[in-house]
Amino acid sequence: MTLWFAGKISKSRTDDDLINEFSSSGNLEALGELYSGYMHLVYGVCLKYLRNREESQDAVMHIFEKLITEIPKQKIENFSSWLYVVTKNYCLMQLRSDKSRELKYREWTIDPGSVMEMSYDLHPIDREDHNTDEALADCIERLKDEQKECIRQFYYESRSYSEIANSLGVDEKKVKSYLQNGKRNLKLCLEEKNEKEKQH
Amino acid sequence: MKKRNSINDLSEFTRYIRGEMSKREENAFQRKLQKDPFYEEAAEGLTQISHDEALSDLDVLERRLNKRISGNRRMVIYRIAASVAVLMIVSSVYFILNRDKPAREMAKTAAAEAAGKMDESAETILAAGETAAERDEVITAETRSEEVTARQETTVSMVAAEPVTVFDAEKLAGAQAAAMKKSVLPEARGVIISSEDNLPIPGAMITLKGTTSGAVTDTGGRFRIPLTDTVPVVLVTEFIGMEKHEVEADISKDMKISMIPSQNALSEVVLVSYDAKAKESIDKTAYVPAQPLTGKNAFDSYIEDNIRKPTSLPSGQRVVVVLGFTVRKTGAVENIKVIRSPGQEFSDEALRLIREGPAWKPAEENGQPVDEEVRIRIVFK
Repeated sequence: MTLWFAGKISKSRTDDDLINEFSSSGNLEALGELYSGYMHLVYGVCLKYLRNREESQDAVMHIFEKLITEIPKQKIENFSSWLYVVTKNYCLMQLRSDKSRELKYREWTIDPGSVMEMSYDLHPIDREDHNTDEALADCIERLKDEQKECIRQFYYESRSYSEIANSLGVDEKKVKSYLQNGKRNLKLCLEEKNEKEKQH
Repeated sequence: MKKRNSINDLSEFTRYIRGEMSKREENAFQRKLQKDPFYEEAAEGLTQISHDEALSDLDVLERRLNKRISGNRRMVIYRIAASVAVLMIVSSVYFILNRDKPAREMAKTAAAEAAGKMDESAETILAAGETAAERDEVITAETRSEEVTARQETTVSMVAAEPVTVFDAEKLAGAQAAAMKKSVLPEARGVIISSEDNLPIPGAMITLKGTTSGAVTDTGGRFRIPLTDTVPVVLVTEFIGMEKHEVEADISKDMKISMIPSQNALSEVVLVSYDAKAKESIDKTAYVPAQPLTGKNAFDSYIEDNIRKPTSLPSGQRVVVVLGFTVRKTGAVENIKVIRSPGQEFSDEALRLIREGPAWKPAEENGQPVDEEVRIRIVFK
């Protein structure tokens, strides 16, 4: 019972608390507690890029070592997105350093979706209040049919990838890419609208 | 800033990967993925492996992390103590084995054998052992991949002034293990299966990482292996055509180790060799199954390059011939017989491949060649 309670308390400490504790005292346990909350994400990303369980597990441990040296040197505002960038960079560097997988590295870095930015903005449609956004609704109307249909079903009818894939008779990968492209077009459309408003 | 909710997070992930969510929940989770590329990419990666694998991997990682955090200090003390203890046991085994000689004389012999040219008293060796163990610890702390070292290895690095003496020291440790009898040692047991079809893998080799102690799975893919140490021990499983796999031994339950088919291996051929007397050999410390002289990979390539697919095999079909034969301790291959085959043409081709194939290296038990029954699966597809 006491144990459970102690666990409860420590779980409610925020990322910032733990980072501060580690930065000021070098307490590895604080950093470990912080990291263990993200380990499944770090491991998942490593698996995606390295495609090897053993190597990915080693990568997760190496990234932890990296955190020990990097965190005290940096001002981290959002640990989750910072860790994401650190993880991804680590994996891409691993691929680049390996001759046989250099091609894979180029493939990942040419794809604009994998450009490594230190921060990323939330897409307007991913915000909670997207339903009330008129400009957004207008832009959705202008999308190509498949993209419009996917966005509508996913964001307005709360249907999952697999349901949408079924209803359109395509596979889930296609649904994801329609969503991605649709969102990119939406962003462009919204930016255009903003420009126009400024000119008025 | 947001609260840390990794536990919920992980169970959400698990349920998503398992497909246990309702469609509405799935949509909510997918929206979260859309919001955060960290989640998105992690989900992509984790869905590449089975959820059981994902969970056991995360478990391993959690333990590795804890081990990393909970100080190396305790480990140092433990290691020194363990090293000293082993050395003393090693010497005492020698006393027992050579009871008729004067004990003092024997101490010298044991020390000399273990430490090669160091012809000095046992006390000196102990002292040397301690400093060597400390040195060993520093190295281990630096290269953390060598996290678990079983006791023999500690002994080896401790007393081995020169590499030549390693073998002696190992033999001594083996003798010690035998003398201690399995009853006092914890034992890991379980089954090894292939992740491809969840079927047991007979003849897979399991060793305690960093040692030569090992066991081979029986026809049902089952193994039992005495552990030489109580600290977390890493089991290394190896099998032709499969990725080498490492997992922490868990003596509290029946283990289930899943091996992934090797990416590099040629998919055409799977070689299975197992020891018909596996049950008897399990408790022995050093056992190496028979294998092709050219090595496993070269053997795979040999089959790949030379297999002639009978014309009666429809394209896209896959059939398996199982052959059994004996590899004598001389290396001779005898008594080749067909155990299972879909037809004469396939049997003939499989037999030809073995008859004309590379020579075999006999199985070894404690360094001595022995006869062994080998089974091979040859896949036509």
